[in-house]
Amino acid sequence: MKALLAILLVILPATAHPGIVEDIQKQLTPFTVLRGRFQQVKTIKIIKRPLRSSGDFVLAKDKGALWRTLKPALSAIKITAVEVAQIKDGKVGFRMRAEDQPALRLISKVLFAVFSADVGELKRHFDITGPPLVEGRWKAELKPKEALVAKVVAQIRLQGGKTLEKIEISEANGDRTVIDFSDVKLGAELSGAESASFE
Amino acid sequence: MNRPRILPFILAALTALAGGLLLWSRARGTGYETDLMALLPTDSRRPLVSQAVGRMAEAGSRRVVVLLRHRDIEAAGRAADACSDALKGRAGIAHVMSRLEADVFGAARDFYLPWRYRLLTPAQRERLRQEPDSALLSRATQSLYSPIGPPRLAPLESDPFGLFTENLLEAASRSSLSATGDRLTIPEGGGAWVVVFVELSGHPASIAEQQALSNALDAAVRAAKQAGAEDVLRAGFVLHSARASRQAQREMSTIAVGSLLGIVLLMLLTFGSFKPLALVMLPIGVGCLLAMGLSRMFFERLHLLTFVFGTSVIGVAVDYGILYVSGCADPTRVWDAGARIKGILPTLGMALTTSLVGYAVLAALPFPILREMAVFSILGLGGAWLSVAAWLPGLSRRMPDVHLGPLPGFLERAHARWPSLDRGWGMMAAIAGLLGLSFWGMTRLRPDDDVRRLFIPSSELMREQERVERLMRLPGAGQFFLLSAPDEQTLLERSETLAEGLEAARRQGHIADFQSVSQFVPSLRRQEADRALMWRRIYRDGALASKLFGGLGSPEAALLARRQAEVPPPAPLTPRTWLDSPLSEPFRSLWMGRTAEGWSAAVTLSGVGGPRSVEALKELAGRQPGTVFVDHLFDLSKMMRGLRIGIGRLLVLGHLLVAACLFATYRRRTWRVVAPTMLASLYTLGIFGLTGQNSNLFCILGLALVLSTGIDYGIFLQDRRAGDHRVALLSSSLAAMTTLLSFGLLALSRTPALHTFGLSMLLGIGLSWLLGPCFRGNETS
Repeated sequence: MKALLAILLVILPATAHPGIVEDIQKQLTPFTVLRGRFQQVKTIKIIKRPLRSSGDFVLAKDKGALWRTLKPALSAIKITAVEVAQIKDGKVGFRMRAEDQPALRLISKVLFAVFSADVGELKRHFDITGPPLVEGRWKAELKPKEALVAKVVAQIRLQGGKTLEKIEISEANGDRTVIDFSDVKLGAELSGAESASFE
Repeated sequence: MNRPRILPFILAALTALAGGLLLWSRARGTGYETDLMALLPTDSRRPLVSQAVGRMAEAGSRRVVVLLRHRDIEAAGRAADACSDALKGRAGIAHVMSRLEADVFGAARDFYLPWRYRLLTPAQRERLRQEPDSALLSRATQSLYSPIGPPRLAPLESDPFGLFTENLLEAASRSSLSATGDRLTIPEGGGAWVVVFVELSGHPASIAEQQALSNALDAAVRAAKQAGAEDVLRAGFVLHSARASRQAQREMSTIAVGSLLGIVLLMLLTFGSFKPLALVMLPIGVGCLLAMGLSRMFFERLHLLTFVFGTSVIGVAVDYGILYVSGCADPTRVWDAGARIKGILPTLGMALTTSLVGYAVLAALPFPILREMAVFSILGLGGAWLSVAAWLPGLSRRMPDVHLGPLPGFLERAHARWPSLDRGWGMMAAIAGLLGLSFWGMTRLRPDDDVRRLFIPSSELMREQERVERLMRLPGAGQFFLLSAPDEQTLLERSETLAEGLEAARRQGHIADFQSVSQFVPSLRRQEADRALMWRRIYRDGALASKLFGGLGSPEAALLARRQAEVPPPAPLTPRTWLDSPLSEPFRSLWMGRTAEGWSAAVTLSGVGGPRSVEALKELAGRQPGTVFVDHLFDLSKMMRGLRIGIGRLLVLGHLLVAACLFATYRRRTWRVVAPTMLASLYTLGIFGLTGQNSNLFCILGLALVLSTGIDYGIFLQDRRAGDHRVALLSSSLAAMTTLLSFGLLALSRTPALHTFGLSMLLGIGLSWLLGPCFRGNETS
């Protein structure tokens, strides 16, 4: 976990394709809270049947993200500025705290950036390319800038319109994860229960 | 009697030999030793400990670490690159690393992959023993479904439960260093330090190389600061060595120039003529040449501090020449070189003997640096003495008419008015009063025997070093475990048992961390036990792997996983395998291999707590055979204390012995010769106590030399055979002044040991010189 996430965050901003990044930024609706459902299909080389899971998520601009898998089993991942934690049956599966790992602030920033399609932040770590927008719909291909990251992540594809609709992660080992988002709604603030889970 | 005729030729031959040796060693490039570690005494009773300490010091001495800080880690990274660019390609620097260039992690994975079925962490072992299938299964399934989770460092069929990955990640996260992007960082407070590793090509062979290296590092620090680093810390042995040699060179030239200028001035003030000056300079030159040349026969490389100390011997070596030359100030006799040398030879002989005995005591101690200093000084004094006896008479058959300068008259007047014991009770009372004060001062002596503080003055550099060691959790060189066993595997097993105890000690806060070979290479017995456990719980038909892959709808993957797990690795994982891999590079010094006690290894510790923690560690060592907790610095300090006390006692005995020897010559006047030196030593100790100076071994050694040198002035003064008492007064005063000048300059040294040495000699010799005339007596010979 630590290594992957640490590796995800490689530094040195460089100018990527400025056109596409700005186009996407113009297209996306700014939000404070974003809620929705997701469908994930993970393909692992040796396992014939793709692993399907689904659930819902909440993104809060200045709090973090809560990723809740409902099927096939209930579990949750919480990403905040101070920690990344996996919660299962009320128990923490793994946890990384910012105090142990100063890179975490950056890690959560990047994860958050991926899930909220924050291309402005992502272009610091990835080369972003994509075709011109067609009727407000956009596609972007992200290639890691650093060889170390490339060893784990081959590429990431994002696609959407006013909101992010699809993430496709191709790992260097051949595994692929496709996440489709649906029922994405903008919200004004977090519910009490949601706020509590970010504490 | 043709001995006197041969003597000049013997000396000429020796001088030629010394010159030859000096040139030869110059040509071979054997420069000075500057390594501070070489100064520490060796523990001859425990060669294995010395060997382990040596290995660790050697490994550490080739590394320099620079830490840079900035609120913004990217800015710190840019400063790290600037620092690294400034160092790359500079002489003496083998490698600089400011970012992770090689895939260290991938290399570790590739190395351990063949043994993935026999490696478990303690927590994993516990989990596989205790947890039910359901818990283990749901954990594995969840991480497969999770959109973000640990990367898989092995294909799923090779590591379905992510144990291998977890093992490697845990090993990586135990380091004080973490990876932020491709930077190695150390978190502290709200921010982080970026680490730059510098590897040196080897020990810098010469001082010039060392200085070049140190300058390059200084330039790199400046470059990092210019690039925006808010704070920079450095650590590395070479930095201290470079600083110490710079300082030693400075002190050496101060002492040499100061002493020589003083001698020139004194001689001119006394004789007002150049010939006597030239005559006293010659023995100094010969003494220096012999000391520097002939010492190469005993030591391949001399430590720079030996030269610092050796330089101060100029002030003593000049004494013999002064005694000889002073004869020309005798108004009662016509100068006759042959008669003069004959007249003073017994005195010269006695002075040399007492000095040599003093330095021989130093040479007998188990301190390599003291042995060097003693041999160097003995050769220098011997050379100076011989050249006085052999060459000066031949060179001074005729002396110019001397017009005595102002000094002899001044000395004479001062001497005439000097308080004397024989003139009344006042002086007696003063001496007794001071003695009482000194005894009170001596009760306040607080000797500090810590060897660390002997050679390295506390400085900003030292504080930086300590901070880096704390931040990086670098192992302390002095405290470690030394394990021995009859064979390799038993050694690993003992190391594993110790590691369990150390884990507990770490949780209790006794240590911050430890490093042991068993963390990288488990014993074959443990590997086999872990393999059996994994086979039983995971890979065996119907076990967890079957359930996992069955649940995912790919039962054939379980078969694949089982087949793979059945295949034995191509070779066993042994220390040899690990040592042959570049992965072990930073840790190789831990493994000592075959030793006199079978097989040995060190387990290093970092952040060892106070005395209670040390007790806990000692207790750990007592739990199994072949395990010793070494507290090297403590042991050395204890040895220093032992030597201080032992030599202190010998010193008391030495005074009595010297008195006994002198009794043969001086009979009832013996006390007059001995008392000044004895009182001087006592007063010196009193002053040390009253002023809070460190009265460690080096203070006592200084007093040993006071006994051997200070007594000379008493001898010069009391010896009436050499001629007029004014000549005796002149020669002893000049000798004392030159000696005081040299050791006074040595007392200015910033090396604590030399400072203490110089100060105790300055005080001791100065006081014996001042007290001498008080005991001169009224009777005329």
